[in-house]
Amino acid sequence: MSSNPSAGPQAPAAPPSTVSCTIDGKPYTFPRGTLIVDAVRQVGRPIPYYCYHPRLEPVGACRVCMVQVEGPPVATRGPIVTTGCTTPVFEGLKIETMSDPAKLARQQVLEFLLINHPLDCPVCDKGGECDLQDFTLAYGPGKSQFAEQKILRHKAEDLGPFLVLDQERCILCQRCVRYENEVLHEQNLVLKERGDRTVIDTGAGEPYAGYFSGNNTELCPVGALTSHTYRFKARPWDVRPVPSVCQGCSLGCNLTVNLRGPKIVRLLWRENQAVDAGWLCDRGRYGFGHTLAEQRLATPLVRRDGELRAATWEEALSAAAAGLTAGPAAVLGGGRLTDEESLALSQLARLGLRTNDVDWRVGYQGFAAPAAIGLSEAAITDLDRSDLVLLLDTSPLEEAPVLDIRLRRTARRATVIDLGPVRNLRHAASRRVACAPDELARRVAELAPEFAAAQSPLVIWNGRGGPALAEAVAALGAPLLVVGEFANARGAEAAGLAPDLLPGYHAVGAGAEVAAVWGAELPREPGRDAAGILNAAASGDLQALYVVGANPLRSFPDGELADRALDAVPFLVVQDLFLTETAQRADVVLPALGALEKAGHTSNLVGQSQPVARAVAGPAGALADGMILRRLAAALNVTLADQAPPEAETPARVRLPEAGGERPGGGSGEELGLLLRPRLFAGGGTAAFDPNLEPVHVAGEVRLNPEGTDRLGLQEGAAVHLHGAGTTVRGTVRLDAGVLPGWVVLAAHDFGGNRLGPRVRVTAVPAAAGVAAR
Amino acid sequence: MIRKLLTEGMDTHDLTRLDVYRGRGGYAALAKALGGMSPEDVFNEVKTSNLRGRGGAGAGAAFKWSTLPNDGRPRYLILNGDESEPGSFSGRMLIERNPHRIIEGALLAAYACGMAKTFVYLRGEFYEGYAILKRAVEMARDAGLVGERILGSGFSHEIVVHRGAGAYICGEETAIMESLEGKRGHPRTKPPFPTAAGLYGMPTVINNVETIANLPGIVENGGAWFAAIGPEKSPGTKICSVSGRVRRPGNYEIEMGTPLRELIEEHAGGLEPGHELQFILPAGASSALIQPKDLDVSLDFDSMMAIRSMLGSAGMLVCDERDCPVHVAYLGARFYHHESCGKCTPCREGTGWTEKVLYRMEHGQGRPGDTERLEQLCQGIGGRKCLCLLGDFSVTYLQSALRAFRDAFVAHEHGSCPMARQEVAIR
Amino acid sequence: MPLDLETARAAVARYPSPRSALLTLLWQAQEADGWVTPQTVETVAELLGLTASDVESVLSFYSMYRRTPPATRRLQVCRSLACAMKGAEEILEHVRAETGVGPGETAPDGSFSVEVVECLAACDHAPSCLWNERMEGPLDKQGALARLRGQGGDPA
Ligand SMILES: Cc1cc2nc3c(=O)[nH]c(=O)nc-3n(C[C@H](O)[C@H](O)[C@H](O)COP(=O)(O)O)c2cc1C
Ligand code: SF4
Ligand code: FES
Repeated sequence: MSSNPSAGPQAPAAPPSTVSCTIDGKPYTFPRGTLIVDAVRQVGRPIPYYCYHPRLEPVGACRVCMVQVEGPPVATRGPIVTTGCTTPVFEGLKIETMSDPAKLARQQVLEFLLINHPLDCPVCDKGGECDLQDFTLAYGPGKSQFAEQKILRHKAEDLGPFLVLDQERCILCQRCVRYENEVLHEQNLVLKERGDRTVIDTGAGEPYAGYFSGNNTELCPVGALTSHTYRFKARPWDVRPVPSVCQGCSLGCNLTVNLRGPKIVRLLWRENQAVDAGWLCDRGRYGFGHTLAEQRLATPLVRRDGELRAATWEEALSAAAAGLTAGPAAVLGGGRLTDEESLALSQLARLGLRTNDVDWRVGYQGFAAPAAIGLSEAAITDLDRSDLVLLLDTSPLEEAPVLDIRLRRTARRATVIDLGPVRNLRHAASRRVACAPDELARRVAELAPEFAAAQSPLVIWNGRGGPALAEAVAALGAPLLVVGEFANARGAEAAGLAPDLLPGYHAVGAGAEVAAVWGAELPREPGRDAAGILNAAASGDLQALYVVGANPLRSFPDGELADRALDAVPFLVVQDLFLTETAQRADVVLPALGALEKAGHTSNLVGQSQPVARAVAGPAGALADGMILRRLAAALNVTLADQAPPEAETPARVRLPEAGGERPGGGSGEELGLLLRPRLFAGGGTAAFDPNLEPVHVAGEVRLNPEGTDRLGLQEGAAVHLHGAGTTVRGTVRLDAGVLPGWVVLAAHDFGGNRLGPRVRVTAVPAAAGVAAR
Repeated sequence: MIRKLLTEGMDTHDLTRLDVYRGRGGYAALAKALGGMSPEDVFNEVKTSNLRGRGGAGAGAAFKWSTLPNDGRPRYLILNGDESEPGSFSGRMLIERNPHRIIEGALLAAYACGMAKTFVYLRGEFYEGYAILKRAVEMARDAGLVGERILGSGFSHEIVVHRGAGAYICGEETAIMESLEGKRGHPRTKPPFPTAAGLYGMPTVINNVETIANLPGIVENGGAWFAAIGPEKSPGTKICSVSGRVRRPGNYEIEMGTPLRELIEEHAGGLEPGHELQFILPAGASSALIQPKDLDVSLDFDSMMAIRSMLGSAGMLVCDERDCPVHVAYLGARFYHHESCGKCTPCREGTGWTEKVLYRMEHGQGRPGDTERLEQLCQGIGGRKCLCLLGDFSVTYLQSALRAFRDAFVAHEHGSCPMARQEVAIR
Repeated sequence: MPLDLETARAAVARYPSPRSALLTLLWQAQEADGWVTPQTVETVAELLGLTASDVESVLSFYSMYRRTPPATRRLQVCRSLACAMKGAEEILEHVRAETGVGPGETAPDGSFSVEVVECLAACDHAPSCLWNERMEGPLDKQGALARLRGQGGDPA
């Protein structure tokens, strides 16, 4: 030891990177710094733990992972018991997991943990998979000596739409509060009070507010944090696990479906570090209620005498086939299909309907793969090492929530620039650049020097904005992550569900390889994009429209055009799970199965095709999209090839639609520019019909910068009317300083927002106006 | 033997006044250090002095400082003025009546170790001490003794007086850092030790206020002078806080090595008339009791360890035949139950359970087996199974009482108290 | 009178990290208002860039922050070892018998409150107490009652 406090110790020679030690008498070697608990786990020895979790920082709070250690650096005192979760292995250390002192220490800790525990296992949802039960059985005392009064606390406390808290069952391992802090950088759950009065709770008794509450129920080793949806539904031995992939957004988090009999009772994470880092968002975790929703379409419908009436599949399919071949037809949708189904739809359009008038882009997203605009692709895990990230008018939190968790970690160490009219990164933005949509390209160009200087820069974008913005992004020279608007936008694009693309990114007109696989001639003229198709329909140039898993009345940015098109087109076929606004206009409605109800593959936002199994049956009268397509093809006398055409050597580029008209408000000051931006729990698809998500469903939300709202007489929570383009929509004010002043934000896919045109006036609803105007 | 090094002049003079403190030689050590000694010189004097920490464990002050890594990161000094151990009240006296000595000591330590800043952590209940110490720092700043270019030298240093808000655990060296960072006072796991990664993750030295108050004397008179006072391995003086059943409770600064008997019988005036010593808790509620047979023990770190107790903070609680060891155990258990931070299981649950058992025993509801139950509880909580030492503290006295007065505990199992205490139920 | 923002900011500036001023700001607010109001929690959280939940969590760990408005006269009696041995509990029992107000309770008219606290580091004056935040002792039964009944004059 140096005797001089300002002269540091000599730099020692670098220690070897591995250490050798023994565990229960057997020798092993581990990387230096490995915690004893990990070492013991790795060699397959059992060791109990509560506060330790591989995805959280160690705290050493529960003290149940006690092992006996002997050797350096504790050599002088003989064997001692210590916590495996806070002690790293050392060279020469002797670790005993089952020595008497270690067993006794664990036994006493378990006895302590039970003294104030309610022991209400019969009514506890964790029963059968509870670490407190399991470790007590394995290591605990057979009998408690505790004969005093237990501490009573809150039970079955409602923490909002998803979580239930039982403070008596809590063993204060702090996994939940550490997850909130370390992983989310939020504090939706905190510790309160101290000593044995300590409890877990939300801040001031308000409900849990974040998007990731459900992970707490899996982190919780006991039954303290459980889900409303799983309450009293099953025991773990009753359930059948089916591995699957979430299709709530384009990230494709891995999950396990748990079924009891024919019903889904819950979804659990299925850690895939490269995709989801082990987490799920609440939409993904709880949005399975639509599988049993009452409003699910269970039988085909055919319009007769102006009314949609139940029909057989034969009737519906022959009506559809007849209508679709009576004249020029076009296809919209595909972003919610499996990879296989997208390919089938692409073939059906080209070979059955003989058209390239096909487009999956029924919303704001202009392209799905970076290659489609000639850029290089980033990997999701690149976020873990990039030093500069541009978040381009995109909100991972709303559009691919679990990606946002990873981004929060990135933002701790790297520069993240949040560019656009709405602040998107709530928890960790290192730099906010607020600008109007028409300034985006210029602002991106300004970042070029910074990007040139960065080691490993990256751009996250949702593909909204048109060719000029794409060019500006390309000039940055950074790889791109494209967050999809629909879960399988990537698969739809790869299948050629675009007017100028064939499967495998072959250009329309250069599809010899595709034609060879399909064994048929292909139409050679590029088709019309979604706007072109809708315009053609509106002006009477199309005889029929086939809409698959899409609801343009809500999602297409120009809702007025969509409305006119659907009115004018003589024949409309809609294939969906619910009778959406678009489906209500159809001549034939084909009831489809949902994501968890069919097998196939789905491509996530980086084009990784992940298999999904069929977990549940779905309504008896509905069919998988793939089956519907196959039968419709048969009715059209087309045989669908199963084989996918090979990938083009140089991917063809897609033509990006011009950016839609987002324009600042008028000079009067009363007119605001309108922005439609994604919100996780908005939309007219499954979220609107899912009873589990009903409490958090976002509808009619009007986000405004607080600045100037006084002048307009608007306060948080005020009921307002939005007037624009001759339409009025009702909503509720949410003041949000992250919105650029002079603009108003509505949720994309929320009803009516796309009918208002680029500029709106916001007026308070007179108190007497009563019910909704829409 | 009474020997006033830290308390000298305190009874007769208002040392909180800067002019008075300086008039009696205060800040001369600082002037000496800054006037010609290098930081290494100051460090070496402290090393030679063999000064050991007065906060509890008796760690060598210079040794602790020497473990600071020399990596250019800012270093911090924390003065521990949490003083929450029941029975300890010497720090409060120093803070309220000799604040400049603490400030001067902090400046010397900071100079020796190159500290960026000093934080004095006072327990929340020290309303008066907080005001006095803050005022003293301001006075010192106005006189050029704190702040930029102290006494015209190249040395600059800031002292921040910080207040806790009611938590014994915040005297623990890592909990104090959490608390200073504005968090709940949960101890951290060690390693890393504070000198490696302490406050804000930076190298941090934490010393008790009394430890630090020794530095001016050491620098002024030399480390060798200090090392020659008292026993070789525990040099210097110690302010002992004597309370309980003595005639003159109070603080007594004695030379290390003074017999405990002398402290109790002479300086503290002996037991109250007509009463007889039964046992002493020498370092507050967390120390193993000392029985009359050991009264001749010498008051220094090593001799106290030799009789299975400790000098610690020297908060001496003297108990006579009216004080039932079971009652004292109950009072201690109630304290630890209230003060456990709740982070780790054995302490959080064990202290509550222990209190409940002792409460029953104290209230005539003892049950056969309670004594053994307490022994098991001690075993479950103690023996370094907890994250910090509070768990061990909570059972130290109890274990010693179970050894020395087992019969009294067993009697309580059957509803009787050998001391026939009339307990008042407070709930 | 709520937290003075200027004093608060000065406190924040003393620390290398703003969060360190949390306990200090809560003290400042409690000294201004007599207790930590829900508004204080919000204000302090905003000043330090923390969430209100985070502030609640820290606040509730420490025993000296009041979550309800204080009584006019406040007696906090130490009940740790030395003081209990010297009769602290008998005093508390006497106060309860005479006034009906036990430890942890406030007189119905809000004129006084009685609390128990742990060792005040004043064992040489056992039984000791904080009387309106001033350390006093030794306390006796009559003294306790006189203080609570305002016979010693009310604090400012
Ligand atoms: C639960 C607990 C409470 C403590 N309380 C105090 C205290 O109030 N004052 C103090 O100086 N040290 C206290 N300590 C000891 C400190 O952790 C630390 O060792 C000491 O301040 C170091 O100072 P020293 O080296 O000058 O003795 C406590 C330790 C524990 C485990
Ligand atoms: S021993 Fe007690 S005080 Fe220390 S960390 Fe554990 S619970 Fe907290
Ligand atoms: S026991 Fe009461 S002040 Fe110490």
